[in-house]
Amino acid sequence: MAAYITHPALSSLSKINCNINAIYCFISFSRRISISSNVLSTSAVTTESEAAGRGVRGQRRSKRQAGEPRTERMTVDQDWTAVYPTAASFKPSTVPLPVRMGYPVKRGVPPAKKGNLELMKIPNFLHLTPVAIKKHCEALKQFCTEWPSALDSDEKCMKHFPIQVQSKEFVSAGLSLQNPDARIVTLKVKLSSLNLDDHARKKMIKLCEERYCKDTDTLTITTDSCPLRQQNYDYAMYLLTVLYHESWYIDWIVISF
Amino acid sequence: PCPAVSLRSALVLRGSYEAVLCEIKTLIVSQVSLAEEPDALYQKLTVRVKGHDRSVLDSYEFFVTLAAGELGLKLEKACEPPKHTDKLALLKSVHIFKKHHVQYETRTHQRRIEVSRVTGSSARVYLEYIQRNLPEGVAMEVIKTSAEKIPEHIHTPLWDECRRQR
Repeated sequence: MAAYITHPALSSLSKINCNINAIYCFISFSRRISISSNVLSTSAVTTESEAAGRGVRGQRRSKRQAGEPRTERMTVDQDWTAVYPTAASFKPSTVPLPVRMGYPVKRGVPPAKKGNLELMKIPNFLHLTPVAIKKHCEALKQFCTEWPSALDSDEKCMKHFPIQVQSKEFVSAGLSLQNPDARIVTLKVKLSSLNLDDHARKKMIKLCEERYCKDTDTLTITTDSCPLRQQNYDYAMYLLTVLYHESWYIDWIVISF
Repeated sequence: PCPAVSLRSALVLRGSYEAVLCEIKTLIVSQVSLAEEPDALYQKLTVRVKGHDRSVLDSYEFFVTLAAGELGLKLEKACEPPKHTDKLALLKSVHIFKKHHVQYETRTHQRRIEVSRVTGSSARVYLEYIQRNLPEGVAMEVIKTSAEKIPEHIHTPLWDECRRQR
């Protein structure tokens, strides 16, 4: 591995090529030439011995030269969605941008894109350019349906569809893909939208205890006792049904509310 | 009625990107069918994303808002709740030196995107598209609030006048 070494005092003089592994050494001018000759001779010796070794083994593997990067042949008006159709890591020879990323060592500049690990580590959105997003959405639009135009406001929604069912879905990577909170179902309904008379309404509020909110006139039923979301939803609807019919029934002891 | 086709079955991976897109379109047109059951109605769809890198979440928010606009969904708000920081103080040395600690912190940034008044099939399409393009190291939580009618058995009470009082 070659490293360029410059002594600040000798910056006007030529640089030294040394085959030392990433060790920065400050060499005086008098010793420079002798060391360089020494190093060159040793490096020459090593290459010769390596070549001899390879020759003794038999096959000589010629190292394939890397061709010019693909960015040289790219035009300005190319189809970028063909270069990055799906999520892929950052390839410096494929992205024609002069991107730099990393910490500027010794008041220098951030390192260039070639062989840059920081650029490869971070998730890139090169496959999700606005053009690509528009193409995807155009293909997906056929599966979408329109919201009914008659239900433009929240009041109309609440009037025709008074029951609100809330559930959660989770997407994350970890030891397990499942999240136990995904089975919880919350059912909210306004008592004014149910068919209740005076006695039934008071009995319903008495039965619900803390699940009823007086300010918003909302009954909230949260179910998490079943393992599946569908089961919890069915249980919540069952609870609502039971509450409703029980509140209409007048007990043989007439309790005054 | 809602179209009952999954995107996964329509994807065919061969040839160039343009050829693939044309093939998908022809496949989709022939495979889209309407189911008998009525479409679900979601009054609000809240997407919460959490990650350690703020710039990644910035790009993802741009993608999500553009996708919602392109698919014709009404975007209510796209805000950034304050980040959550977990701090940890550990001993610097392996043995003794209690006076010297090192402090670590884990920052979790989040975004909140709300889409209002979506149908069930549109929500399914949008969420699948969003979730397939979720970047690495980002977690998502979707809160669906669906609006439903009162079921048939709750319209009138079970008991009539004479049966109600024993």
